[in-house]
Amino acid sequence: MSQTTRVKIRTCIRENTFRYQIDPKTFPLIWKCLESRFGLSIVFGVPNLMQIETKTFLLRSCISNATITLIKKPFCDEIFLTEFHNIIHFEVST
Amino acid sequence: MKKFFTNETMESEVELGERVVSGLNTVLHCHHYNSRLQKTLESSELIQGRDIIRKAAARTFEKQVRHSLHKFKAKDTNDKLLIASELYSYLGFGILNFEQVFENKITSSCSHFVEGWKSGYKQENRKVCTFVEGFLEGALFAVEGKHYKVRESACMNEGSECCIFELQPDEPSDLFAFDYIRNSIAPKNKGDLQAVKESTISTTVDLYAIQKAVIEMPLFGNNYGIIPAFNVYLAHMPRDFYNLVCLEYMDQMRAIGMAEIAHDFLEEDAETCSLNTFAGIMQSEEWAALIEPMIKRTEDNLYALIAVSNALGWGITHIASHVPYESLELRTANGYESIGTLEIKGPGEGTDCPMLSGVAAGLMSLVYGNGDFNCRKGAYKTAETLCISKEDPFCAFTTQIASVKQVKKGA
Repeated sequence: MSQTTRVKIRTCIRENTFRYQIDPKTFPLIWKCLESRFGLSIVFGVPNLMQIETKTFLLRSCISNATITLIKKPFCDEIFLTEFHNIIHFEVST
Repeated sequence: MKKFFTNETMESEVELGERVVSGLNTVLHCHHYNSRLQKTLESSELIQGRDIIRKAAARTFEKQVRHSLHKFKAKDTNDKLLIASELYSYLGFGILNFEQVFENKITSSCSHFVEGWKSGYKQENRKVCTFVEGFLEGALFAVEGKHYKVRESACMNEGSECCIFELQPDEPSDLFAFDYIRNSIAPKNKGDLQAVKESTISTTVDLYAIQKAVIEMPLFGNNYGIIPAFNVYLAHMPRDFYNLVCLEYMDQMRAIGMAEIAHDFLEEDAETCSLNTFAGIMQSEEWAALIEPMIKRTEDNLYALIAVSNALGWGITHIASHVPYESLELRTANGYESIGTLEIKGPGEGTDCPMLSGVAAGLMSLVYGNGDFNCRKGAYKTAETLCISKEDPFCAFTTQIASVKQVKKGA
């Protein structure tokens, strides 16, 4: 299993928005974990595009690429970020 | 849970790229463009920028709210206020709370415009909800048949927990009397679509599939009344609002001998927005899921971006010619700026599409430009050569390199 990586993307919504690249082999399981923790996903317009939305964040994923973009809303806190990073096996470098 | 507005409320027409909500053609723009346009108008002390925005919003939304009340057969004042509030959220402007309306107070806990000002500029300690003041003046007239003056007394942009709007009864005026709007799913004043189609060059990118997929996406306000999509916040704005705002701005600037500068400002707003917004779009999951698999060559990005823009209600733009890195020629038979100008002012002698001109230059800079996005502005320049507003068969735009240094060397 390869480590999850992330790149900062250009977005007009929030500064410090990242796209996470998940290992395609583990992606289905990780997405299920995210759903069981944060709520079921919906198909967003096209079949390949899924979304999980809560009060504090929005996760949008291109399933075939095994990528997830985390869009933070106001009040999105470190507690959530840590939990999210744990689920997707991402380690923040210090 | 919304009571009145659902995904089916919007009528759309894929071929023409039209989106209609409660009787008015709407166009999608992002929070970046909306707040930038507002800043352009409100920054000048020589014109009445705030007044232009407020009046345009009041006139436009009086009609759209009135149409909504009729459509949903509103029974009482509570129903009517709920419809106005739902319309506002459905279009992506945020949340309006009418609970204290009988104490002459309305609040908003989420705002498209505040998001725009917070993300687009250095923090400015000022109230930014001029548009909402106008929306409320129009909506309240549609609901009660009474004139109100609505002013924002606290704004989230200044750090307030919510935006607060105070109501005062106002003197009757003829603001809502003039009914020029002739919106429909297929505008009568469109140009020669066939001629535009016949001049289109072919591409391997499935433009129609992109356009159809984007138009059918669930792009409506979420539980917070905003539309996060393609890495921006989108909002459905009736095209009449933009046309009223831009035409009045041009008129006031013309009156002081600054028409050319005003046109340049509007073009620059669109170019900046085009660069930033479409850059975000290209890095979005939506792009990855829908469009990326079709991209084989650099220029395919340009075709795909134009297909996305064709789903935004701006009018269908066709590529008549394109030399990668060098030039782009676009044509449209139903651009909202030209149709609006024709409807509101009648045939003129000039060209009237600064938004599409700026967008064309921005798209070229985005796809072929060199260096940081902020340094690419001005790399390309667009000339509008034909315009429906002066009764040409279509609008035509030619975009060419203006600054060689800012453009990558072609393959």
